[in-house]
Amino acid sequence: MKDQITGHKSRIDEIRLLIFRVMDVRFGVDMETIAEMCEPDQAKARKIDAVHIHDMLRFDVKRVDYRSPKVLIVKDGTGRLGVMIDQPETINFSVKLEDILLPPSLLKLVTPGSPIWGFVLKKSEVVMMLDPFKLLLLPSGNKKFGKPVSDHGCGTANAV
Amino acid sequence: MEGKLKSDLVLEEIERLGGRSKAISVEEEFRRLVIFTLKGDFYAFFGDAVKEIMPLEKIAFVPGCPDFIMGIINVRGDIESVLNIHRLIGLEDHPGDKDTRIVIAEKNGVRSGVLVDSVEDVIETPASLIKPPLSTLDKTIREFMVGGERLYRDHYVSILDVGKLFNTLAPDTPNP
Repeated sequence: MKDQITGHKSRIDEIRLLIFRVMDVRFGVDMETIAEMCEPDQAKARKIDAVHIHDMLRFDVKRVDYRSPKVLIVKDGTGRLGVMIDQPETINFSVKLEDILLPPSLLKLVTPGSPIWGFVLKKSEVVMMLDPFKLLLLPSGNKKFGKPVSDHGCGTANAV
Repeated sequence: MEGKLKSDLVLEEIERLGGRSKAISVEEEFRRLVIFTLKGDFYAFFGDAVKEIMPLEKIAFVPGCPDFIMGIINVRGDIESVLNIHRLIGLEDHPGDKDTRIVIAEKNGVRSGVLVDSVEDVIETPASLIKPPLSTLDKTIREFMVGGERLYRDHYVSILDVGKLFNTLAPDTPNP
């Protein structure tokens, strides 16, 4: 899997991540896709449309709590789109391309177009590489990504 | 003395029996089965689809996955998905204990871990001993079956097809 990345002729040797958590899940976002990070109140005052990650992606819990929410404003040129994250813990975490693991084959088949495009191991903890642009393109609410067919009641959240 | 000597008859009979047993051993096809349990029932995968059997370890949930994917595990610096087979065949989730195993299975280029309650045995069995499935079996289970059952320690073992399993989850799975 690693060879698929390192074999690609690219001048990109590494990417720098902002790492944050939502519940017990650790995410990493390429810092080059982020314009800025601000408080939810500030984002609201600036009329930035911030989506919650759990509104777009199914979580395996009934309730998703945000303890220390921040808004990532994505670098889309408008400065109007944001992603609500929680508990930012590391900035500028450098990852070499050969250390990025691609999704396993079955995962890739059952989640085509997933905004989680790879994985990094940080001190043996898994960091999910999240593409905020792909996340913002997903339908939200009842059509959230990965919503179980059998359980349409799952994913109720209580976010700040 | 009339006719053949008894010793010759005995030798002929031995050769005939020997020849037959040789013919059987050449023609008989053997299959390896990895036998495991789910909620007290016995199941198996064909051995050629099983790459590794691992103890239960921390499974990292991946948001946005269908509920039959439990998450991913770190296998010596690489990542494997883990399938919740209980949900697929209509069983209650298994909480996981010291006997729980993750069977890493691969078919048609698709690979995943499968969480099972325990791995009981790995056996070689003549293909002729694999009988058609019981008609009383649950339809969901029959859907993933190879079409065979084998008796093991007085238990019926339902043999599941890894390829069918993956193909049901992801219809775009390449077929051989």
